[in-house]
Amino acid sequence: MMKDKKTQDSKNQKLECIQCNKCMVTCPLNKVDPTYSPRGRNLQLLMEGQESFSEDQQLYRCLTCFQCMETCPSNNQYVEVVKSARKDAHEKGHCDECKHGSILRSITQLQADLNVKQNRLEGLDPDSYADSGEIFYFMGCLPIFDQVFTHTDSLKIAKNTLKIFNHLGIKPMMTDEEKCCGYDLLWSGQEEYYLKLAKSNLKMLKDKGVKKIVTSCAECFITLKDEYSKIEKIDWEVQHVTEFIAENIKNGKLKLDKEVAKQVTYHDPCRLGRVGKVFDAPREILENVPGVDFKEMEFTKENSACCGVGNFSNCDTHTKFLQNERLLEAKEAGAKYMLTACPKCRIHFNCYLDGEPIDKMEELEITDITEIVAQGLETGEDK
Amino acid sequence: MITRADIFEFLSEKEVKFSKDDYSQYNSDASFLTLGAPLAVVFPKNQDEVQIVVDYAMKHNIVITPRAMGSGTAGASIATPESILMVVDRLGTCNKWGVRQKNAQVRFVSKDLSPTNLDKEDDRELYAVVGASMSSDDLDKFLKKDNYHVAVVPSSGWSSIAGNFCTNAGGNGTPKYGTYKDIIGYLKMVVADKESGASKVIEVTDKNEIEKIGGSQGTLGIITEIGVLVVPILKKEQTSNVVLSYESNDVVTMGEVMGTLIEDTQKNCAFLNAEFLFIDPLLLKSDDPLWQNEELSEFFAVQEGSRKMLILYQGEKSGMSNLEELTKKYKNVKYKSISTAGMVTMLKIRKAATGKSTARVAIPGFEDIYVTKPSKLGIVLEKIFQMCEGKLPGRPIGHQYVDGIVIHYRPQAMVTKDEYLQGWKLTEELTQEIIGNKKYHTIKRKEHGLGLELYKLSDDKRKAELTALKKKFDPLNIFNAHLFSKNPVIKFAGVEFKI
Amino acid sequence: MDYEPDILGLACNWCGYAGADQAGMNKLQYPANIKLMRVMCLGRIDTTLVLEAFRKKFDGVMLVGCHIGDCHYVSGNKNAVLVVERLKSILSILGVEPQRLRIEEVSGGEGPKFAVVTKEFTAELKELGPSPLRQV
Repeated sequence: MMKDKKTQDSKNQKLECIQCNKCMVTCPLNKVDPTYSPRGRNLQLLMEGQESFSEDQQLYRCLTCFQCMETCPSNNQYVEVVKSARKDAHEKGHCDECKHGSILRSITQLQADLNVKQNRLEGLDPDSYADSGEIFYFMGCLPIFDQVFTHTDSLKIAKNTLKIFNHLGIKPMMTDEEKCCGYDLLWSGQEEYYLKLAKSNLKMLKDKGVKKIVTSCAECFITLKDEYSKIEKIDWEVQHVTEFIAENIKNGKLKLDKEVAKQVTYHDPCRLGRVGKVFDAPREILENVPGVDFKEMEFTKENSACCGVGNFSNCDTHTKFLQNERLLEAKEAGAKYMLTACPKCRIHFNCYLDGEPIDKMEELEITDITEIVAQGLETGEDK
Repeated sequence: MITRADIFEFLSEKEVKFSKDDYSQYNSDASFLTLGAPLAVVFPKNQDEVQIVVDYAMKHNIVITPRAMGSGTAGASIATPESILMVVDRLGTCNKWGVRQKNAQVRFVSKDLSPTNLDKEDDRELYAVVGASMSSDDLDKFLKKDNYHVAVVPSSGWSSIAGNFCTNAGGNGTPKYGTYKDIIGYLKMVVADKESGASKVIEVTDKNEIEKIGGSQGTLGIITEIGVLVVPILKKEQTSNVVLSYESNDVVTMGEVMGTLIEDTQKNCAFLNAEFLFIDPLLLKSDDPLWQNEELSEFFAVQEGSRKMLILYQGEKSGMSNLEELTKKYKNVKYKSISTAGMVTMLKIRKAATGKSTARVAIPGFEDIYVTKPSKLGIVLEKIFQMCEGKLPGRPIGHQYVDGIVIHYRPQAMVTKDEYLQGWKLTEELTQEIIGNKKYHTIKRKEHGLGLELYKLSDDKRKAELTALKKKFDPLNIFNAHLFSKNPVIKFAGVEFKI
Repeated sequence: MDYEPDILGLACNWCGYAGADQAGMNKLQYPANIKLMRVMCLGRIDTTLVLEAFRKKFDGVMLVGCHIGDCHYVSGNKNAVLVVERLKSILSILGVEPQRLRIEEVSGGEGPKFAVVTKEFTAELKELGPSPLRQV
């Protein structure tokens, strides 16, 4: 459940920072760079005003991981304040720097402008999805990630998700008309493009008469669920794939029979966990995969560490330290596989492993939770 | 004259982390007081780096103001424009890259400082020696697997142990173990040595001396390692959780009854933890799920016009066996034994009401009133309510200590400068009216919350003690020199509050 | 049909641009649809630049550089080939015809070749019609 404080409009928020320092201790960025802290930024806002806050490049350093809001005793909406400040800053011509030569930004902006038939379903088996139906599978940017981040097979998440759907005898609706949910643009302050994408998606979903959306991306999940409903009333249910799987395991429809003898741990993505409050579903799933040896890391659930990157704009040395810490945690927990439920967390961690990690982590693999589930399906029954 | 650029050059050369710009967050702390922007802000990660900075400061005669991890409601960690602000919030808890580590690096020593382990027999004094910036919450987390905890954890568990010691903080274990000055058994400090003209690392092991150093607000040196008392966690079946409640529109009688009860229980029961809390309609929102809680909801209902006081007792069963009998003496006092989970929730609410929560702001200088005769609590409370009612709404809360009661009074959300100043004024009036008045048997607590006015507000005995300590440990007056000035020039942070 | 495609030509300083120059000096006719932009090397072209060109409503983008193996900076054009390959798949996913992007090897002395490929590309784009981004 969302706390009611989080659904309020951030513009009307009263900043009630009492300078208690709790955010400073829990902020992941502060762990590696003492010069940055939400507390300090709040004080800057308080003392120097909105303009100084919005125009400082520090505005784009926040990872928007919601950890500070989880610990804040004053219910201060720091991340929401950052979000609306980024929007203001964008209107004045400031913007964050999207890494990778801002390719992802350009792609999403192009998507917002384009109005043609895409070919986003090309890599998928045409027999595994349908043109219509009650359940819509919102794949997100997975095929595009595959073109940009070659170190990670992102589309595999979609393939595995479809495999699980098919195993349940469902051919979910998928369409080429789907566009990026606009998450990155929203959080970097480029609201006009975000709205273009959101409205196009909303229209598409309405036209198709969708009843339920399942998505395998934590960011799509929270955007479709919470952000789209701010634009207009939505009359469909949004589920993350982990919720969907857990639900079907509970009602006995999905049986995982095949032994998957793997030591795994689970990394809670911020958008699914702290924001979406989905903590139990992934753990229920892992309990039900036979043979899986599930180990919790030290910092989980509400206190789950950050993958180090927010909307592709924060990647730097500090990020690498954060990723190293998190992966070490997984290693210390005795896991060979660190599972996550957000394609971006997976990409960022894999990117770190693909480079030269500070500590040796050869045995560790990062993968999506759907992969373990797909492996747990009885292969003979694949449809 | 040493300029900012000189210091930066030196620090970059020595690879000590520092803040190049963005000073605003270091000009003030939770007190919202300011003395101006410090000359530089440094973040040493270990003892060596502290020494590098101290050496430099001594060479150029620059003052150092240490700042630890807590909120700093008393203004002790704000720096003068000509001083270096040394942020020690990662000191001793970093890896070599300067990344703060969550895993505690702890060694255990017994009373005589010989190394020991947790797995030996239980009933002896045991100290955990940790890096100065380890927070009590983090250490608690680490100790939990061995069923131990830090003897005293303040309401803000994120504050560092060394910081708690420097402000002589109290906390949940205080009725039994005392404040931080009583539970520290070992100190390692970097001090400025006059003879050699350089920094020196010293160890303080004398309990008497440590007790005096407690509450010195970082005026003596930089603590780099600290040994804190750890005690076994009570088993569930050994603990008892009790809430005593009293509702009335007569605050004087209520305070008197509850105060006397506190006094009596002190004589007759051995408690680990005792807090009190006032209930008013602002405490819980109307849609709070706690209203549906069968066990606890009755505590939050309060009739219009009356006030309700709760005492939360949590302690050893054996020590509390006669509590129920004791409460029967007092009319209107309701005794209720609750579950451990229920007590955890109640303590959370209490914690939230201490001022560090929504709509509540701590006011500098007005941390605690110490009531030496608990039976006089009634008239103190009456005075507090009287003074605040026409002006600002608020609620007292407090701790029970071995030798009296501490009341914190926290006016509610004040976020504009005017309101803040109004609260400040009220604070001063209250302090004068209540503390200055002998008949109420109250004193202002010596260290905790004194901060900026450490010397000015201390009594003569403590003044002499502090002066002697300063002479011994920091004769050059390198650390927090301004705290000893008789009339510090304090300003309010920021030109105006914009919220 | 009165549709005239807009083409952005990204030409490397050492070969592509020199080739175009030679075509001009030799008074070879080539369509005026192409707007040439000189870069030091095709290695400088990253994916974003090309995508931005499409966002600025160009109907086609042509990269003109040295022959493989002749790069003035050893391997710039090899990188460009990879970039173009990747871009083509991205464009195709987005629904923009990948033929709208092209990479050509034109050496400094191949003025006629430059004229030919430009003509060819213009004709192809005419066939394809205006870029989908022009319609918005």
